[in-house]
Amino acid sequence: MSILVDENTTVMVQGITGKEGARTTKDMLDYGTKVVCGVTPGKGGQEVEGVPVYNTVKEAVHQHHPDVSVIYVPPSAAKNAAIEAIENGIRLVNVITETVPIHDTAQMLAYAKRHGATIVGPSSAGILCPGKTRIGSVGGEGFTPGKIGIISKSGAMSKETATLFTHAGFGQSTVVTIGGDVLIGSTFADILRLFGQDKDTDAIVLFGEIGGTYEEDAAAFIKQGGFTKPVAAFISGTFASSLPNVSLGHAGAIIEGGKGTRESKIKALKDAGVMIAEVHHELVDLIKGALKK
Amino acid sequence: MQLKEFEGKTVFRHYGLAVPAGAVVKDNADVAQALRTCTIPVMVKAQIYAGRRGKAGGVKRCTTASEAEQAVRQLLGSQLLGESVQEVLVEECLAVEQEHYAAATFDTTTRMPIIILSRQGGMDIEEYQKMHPDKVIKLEVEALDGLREEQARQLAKLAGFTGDETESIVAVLLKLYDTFVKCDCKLAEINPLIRTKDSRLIAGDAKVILDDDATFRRPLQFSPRIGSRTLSERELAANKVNAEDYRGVAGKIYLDLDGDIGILASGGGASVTAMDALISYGGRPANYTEYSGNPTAEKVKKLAQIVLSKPGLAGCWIVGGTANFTRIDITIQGIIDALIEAKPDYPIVVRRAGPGAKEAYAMLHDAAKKHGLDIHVFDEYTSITESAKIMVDLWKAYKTKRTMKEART
Repeated sequence: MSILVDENTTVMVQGITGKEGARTTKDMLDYGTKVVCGVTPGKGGQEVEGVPVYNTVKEAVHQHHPDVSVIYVPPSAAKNAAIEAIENGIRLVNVITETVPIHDTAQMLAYAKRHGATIVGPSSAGILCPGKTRIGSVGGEGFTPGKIGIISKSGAMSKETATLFTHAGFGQSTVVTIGGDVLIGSTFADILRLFGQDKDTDAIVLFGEIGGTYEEDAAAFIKQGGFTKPVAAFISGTFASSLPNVSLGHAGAIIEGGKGTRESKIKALKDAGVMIAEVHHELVDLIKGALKK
Repeated sequence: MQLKEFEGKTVFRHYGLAVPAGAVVKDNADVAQALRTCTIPVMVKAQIYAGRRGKAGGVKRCTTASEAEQAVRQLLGSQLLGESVQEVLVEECLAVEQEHYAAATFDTTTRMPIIILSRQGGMDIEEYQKMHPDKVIKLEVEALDGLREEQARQLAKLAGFTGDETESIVAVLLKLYDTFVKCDCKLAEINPLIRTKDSRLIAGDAKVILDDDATFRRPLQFSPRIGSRTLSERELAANKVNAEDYRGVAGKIYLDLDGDIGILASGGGASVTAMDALISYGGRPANYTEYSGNPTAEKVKKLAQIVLSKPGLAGCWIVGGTANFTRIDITIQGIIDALIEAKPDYPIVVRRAGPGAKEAYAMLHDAAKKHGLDIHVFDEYTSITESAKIMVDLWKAYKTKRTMKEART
């Protein structure tokens, strides 16, 4: 089993005729992903890697009924692309586009919530179930089927993390890259909830970064008993904390109340029983130790 | 990007929020002109990013024109809380009845816009909130609907505003939220929001953080900056490299740091992890920059040229996680081209993996041999952390050798 997607999932690519959209379509097809249609306004009737392209999501959905939409459109078009997908009945939207204006993200998240749809991203690198399917850009060597779930704010570090585990003999059930933006559709806690119900996932690895409260929120979720399998985490950011930073005004302090730093995240996660890797490659030994017990 | 007070007030004024009469002064000679925009007494306020500047002597109340001139002369060009004062704001003194607090920002737990309102505002708002959490009222806003008038009225009521006060505070809240959305802010904060003796509501200060991802559509433009300083030549050049070519990202973020190991990192999360590791082993980066999203060889070359142009480098680290879709051979080609031009004699450590990596390794070995470059190549079987240690060891050895050589000559 896997979470969010599996080998039967059908996929639509929005922005399929763009450079990255087209390349990813090929990569997904090569992996065995069922890419059934694509959308680029004004390019309906074309084909990309044999996948039919439509002008609108409505036409594409009417013809092919895809389960998931993966979004590769430019930042200024991302909000409307996500809304168009949800409007036409797509329940899972994976937004790969980076640098989406935060107010646009807030609106697309509100729209998804109102219609009961799930967004992963923006700035996600995709979702991968090794050996079954890949959505988006995450993939290639280094991943292998198995029972470790990975949730990562960073795309490259999800692969780096998976590669460490593969070399140590641990495959992955599902790898979810949630994106590192201030506002994201699916948080660590949201994905943990799904992994909790997946009997083929034995342990979880989190790759977090400073800023925001998603790591602390995940810690609270685990502490409340929301997730009971072993969890190991690495939080990057020693360097980032030393950078010339902007003050967040009083509002940041009022809302976050001292959260957001590497120290605060590590403390909250430790309090919830999460194992913390001080350097990234220690994650493997932590999970190994936990699974032996 | 954070704005200074006078820039924030430009934003407020643009969207119809009242600010005190006054003008910004960048040169001592301009004080007289600024004084004509408002009545004496005036407030003279140093324009820096840090909070609590008043307690550090950055805000002065002046009752005569010559006092104001003297205050401006004192503040302009001075160092205050670690920043150099480049502008001062000369403003009318308001007859303060009470100081309130109002802000619009995002809450990451609910992932919604939020409005915060407190009847009691001012410098000590954070302490006040800790002691009276029930008096600093937060209201979530539906991003699709915006702030509705009845919601604003309810918020004002919960925060303890009554009678005539309510309508004026509702008007400010609606305009503040409007500013927050239309100007694509991450934060729009008014503290203090001054209620004058004649019952007007005026923004006494402005803290505005703009969303850098929305610069393309913002009607008001401000000069780019990093934290509290303006950009260096290399930083501006790197940003330009990124902006001129839409394919992939290279140089969108470039920071000059004070070490001497040049950094060409790839991937946001991986590059920060790499920097953590380098610093933990005692390495000192000369810069931070990042390329990702499969940029072209030409774009990476331009970024590499900027990194290698820094004087006094004693090492260069080309590092990234295992790339998902950035072509290693294509991006490394750009770096090799820049290395051949610069011909450095210091150690170069490459730790890259991903599509086209094998070809890239061969290209690197070839360039090292042909051009006498000291390149050390590692694949995904050497972790980012381990390669950081290797970089630091080679850098130390190179510096020792260089010092000995200098001592001899």
